Amino acid sequence: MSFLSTATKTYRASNFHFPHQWRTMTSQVDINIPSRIPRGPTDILKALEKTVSYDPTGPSYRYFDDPHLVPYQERQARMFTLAKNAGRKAARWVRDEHPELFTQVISDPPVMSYMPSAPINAETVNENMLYQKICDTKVTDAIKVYETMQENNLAVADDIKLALLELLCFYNCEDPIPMENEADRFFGQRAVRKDLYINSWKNHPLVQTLFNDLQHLGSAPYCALICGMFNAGAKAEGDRLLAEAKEKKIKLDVNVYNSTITRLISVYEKPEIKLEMIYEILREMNAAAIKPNLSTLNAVIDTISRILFPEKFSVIIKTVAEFERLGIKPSLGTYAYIARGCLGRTKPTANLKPFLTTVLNSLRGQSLEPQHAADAAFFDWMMKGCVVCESLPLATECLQLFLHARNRKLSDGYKTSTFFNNFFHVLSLQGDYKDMVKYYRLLVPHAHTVNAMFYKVLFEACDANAAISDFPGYWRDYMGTGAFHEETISTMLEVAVNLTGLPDPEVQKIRPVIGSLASNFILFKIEYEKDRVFERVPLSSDMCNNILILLARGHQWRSLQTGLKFMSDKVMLPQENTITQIVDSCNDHNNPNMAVWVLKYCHSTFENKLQLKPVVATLMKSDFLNDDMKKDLKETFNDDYSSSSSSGSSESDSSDSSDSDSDSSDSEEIAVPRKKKPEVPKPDIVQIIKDKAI
Amino acid sequence: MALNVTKSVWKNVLLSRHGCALTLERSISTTPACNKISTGRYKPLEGRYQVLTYDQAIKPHELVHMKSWNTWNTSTLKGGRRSQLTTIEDMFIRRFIHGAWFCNTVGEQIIIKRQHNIIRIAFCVPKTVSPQNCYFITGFCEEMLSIWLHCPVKLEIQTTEPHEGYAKVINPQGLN
Repeated sequence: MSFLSTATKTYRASNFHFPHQWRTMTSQVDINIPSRIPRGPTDILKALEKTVSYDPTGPSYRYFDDPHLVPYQERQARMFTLAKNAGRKAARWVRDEHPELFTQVISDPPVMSYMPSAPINAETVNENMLYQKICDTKVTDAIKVYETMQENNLAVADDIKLALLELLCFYNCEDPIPMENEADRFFGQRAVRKDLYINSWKNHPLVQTLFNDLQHLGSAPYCALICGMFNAGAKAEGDRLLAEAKEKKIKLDVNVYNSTITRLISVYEKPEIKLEMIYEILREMNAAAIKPNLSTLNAVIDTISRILFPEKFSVIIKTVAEFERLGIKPSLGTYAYIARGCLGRTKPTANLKPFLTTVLNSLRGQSLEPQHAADAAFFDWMMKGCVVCESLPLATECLQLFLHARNRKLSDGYKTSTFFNNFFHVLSLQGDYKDMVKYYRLLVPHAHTVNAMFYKVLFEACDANAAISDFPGYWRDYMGTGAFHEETISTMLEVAVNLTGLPDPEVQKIRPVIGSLASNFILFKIEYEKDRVFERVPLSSDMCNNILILLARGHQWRSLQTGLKFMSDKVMLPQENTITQIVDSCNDHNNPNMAVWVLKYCHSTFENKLQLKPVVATLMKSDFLNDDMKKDLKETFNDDYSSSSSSGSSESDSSDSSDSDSDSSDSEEIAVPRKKKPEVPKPDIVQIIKDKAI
Repeated sequence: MALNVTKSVWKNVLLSRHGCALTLERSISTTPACNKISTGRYKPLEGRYQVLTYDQAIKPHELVHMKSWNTWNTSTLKGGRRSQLTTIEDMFIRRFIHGAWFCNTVGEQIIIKRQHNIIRIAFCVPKTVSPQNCYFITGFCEEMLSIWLHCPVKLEIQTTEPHEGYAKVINPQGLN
């Protein structure tokens, strides 16, 4: 306590020495009270969320934290998410089918999204309900409400009618995927943009009725319908309506001009004429005093980037510069379109690489915010550009930008998958083994499932770099993907044979591991094809030979027998080299019975197709086999090996493991050819009749 | 009868730690049924084994020492609201989960935790249920309960082997 008081005194005394400084300081400090920042209810949550960075090495938080329920492939991730979403949809369906079961309101204020929607019938429908349905973007319900109102002769105000027309035109009379249905928006099929060349315009009769009713309003219904038609690919109808509007001198809005520019994509004309058409529309906009917006810029760049002409890049850059002078900055989608324009059909234009470098450098470390629908394609086209340039530094830069903050949310599931596929393609072309392992460990399996071609390159890199300890892990991962590519499996087995044959002390450790993996592989192959007709695990004769070697090196004797039987079933022939290596492995693992079994089995099954005598001769000369075995072999091969039989055979070890005994008994079963069907004695009908008569 | 009374009294004496329950002086009781503490205690049966879940294996007096509660909420604290409603809802949730998962809840114990307006339901599922099924039923349960209870509901599932739901085996009488 006394210490505290003395400390305070000292402090006060020390400050007391400088009162003049206090005065000067207080006079200099200029306090600015910052203006109040309006905060929403979720702002704290968003701020907290920023403190947690994305971890691609673990599964997403939407899955249960349980090894049985975590997806290890993209396919599984998609399936689990959509399954959960389907469950939610099923519950909502139950609610909407039986609204009488969900009448209780225990929330205060009531949460409307949990409650069943009000039934649509003659008593309930009114303008408010229609407006609410339009605001909630429930297209089918809105149509139903409007039709019920019409049947009951209820009047609808023009502005609500116009809102309904705009809704129908914008969504082409289809229910959109609701915003809260994140799974369908991310993984669903409908997320893919429709093809502009295909006419998908529904031409709902209500649209035409509403349009005819609202024609007196002038501009708005025309704009809505023209935009809807062009966006849905109804080019002829849209053109007709546009001409009609121009004839009536109706003022069109910026959206119509934008969709007219986009419509030019599907016009088959020479590049100069097409460019002139775009300029013509822009001049029209200028004359009508309509200010272009970001969509205009994106539509123009989209259209120009699809035209094939030499000075495309300079034209695009000039256009972007001109728009920038008007105060319209290019969005991410614009960059994506420019990159797409520079890809070229056979080889990239010279401007692509500098362009990508500039864009990626300017965006480095930024958290990107989408401004336009086209922004979703940004990462996809950027990475495609990197692939065409075959530049690993650019691809890495692009990946870092993708993984930063919430930038990955820009792309949907399909685009994300393409993005990573392209990245790994560049990596396999340009990266060394160290790079490959670095990004493989970062992104596989939770962020992306690598395709079979990358694994092929990875296995080759393992071979070149003698990555002995890492190899079994890659094998396991590759078999987990379920993509059975013949070349990749062949490479994998070759590499495994090479690696397990290296003179390295580490090889002794991985031999049993790879042996068990090979054993699993061959058993999987046999089991997998039992109940599948069209799906096959590719396994050629060479691959089988490699597997046999691996099994022998990993002393998987039982599987070795299965492998040999499998080969004889599938009319495949083991090579002499393989048999030699198997016998060597038997020697290493001190299993003479197996060596004898293999030789006898090959002799009985493959007979004259294999030249086994040199192998047998070498074996007879060695001390590996005991006398009985040598005798056995001699009988089987009907040859005289008298020179070798006298040499110190008494020293050979006759005691062996019990399983080798069972193997030898097994061999006799196998060596016997298939049993013929027992002949059923034919009944002597004459005798039977005689017996009956007696 | 007398023997039974003495037995139950002795049990009480042994169970009570600080002698706050019955003592020997007050052992004569005319209402033995009241003093008999048998709820939640499983005795050996005649001629058959009894397999107890983790929930059943722990006796009521061991509750806070060896195991926690199955329901977590603040409705029974001083000033807590809607205690009756919460209890009834919990019963409903337990039955709904049990039915929606086709009686696949390992050990038949479902833990319900309420935090703010979120209800978190935790239980174990055997590994025999495929993951895809698991996710479908999860989505269905979460949405269905949300619709009924008007608040976000989250399921927290762990998968176990089916036998892991049982913690204790009681031998038949005379076979100890």
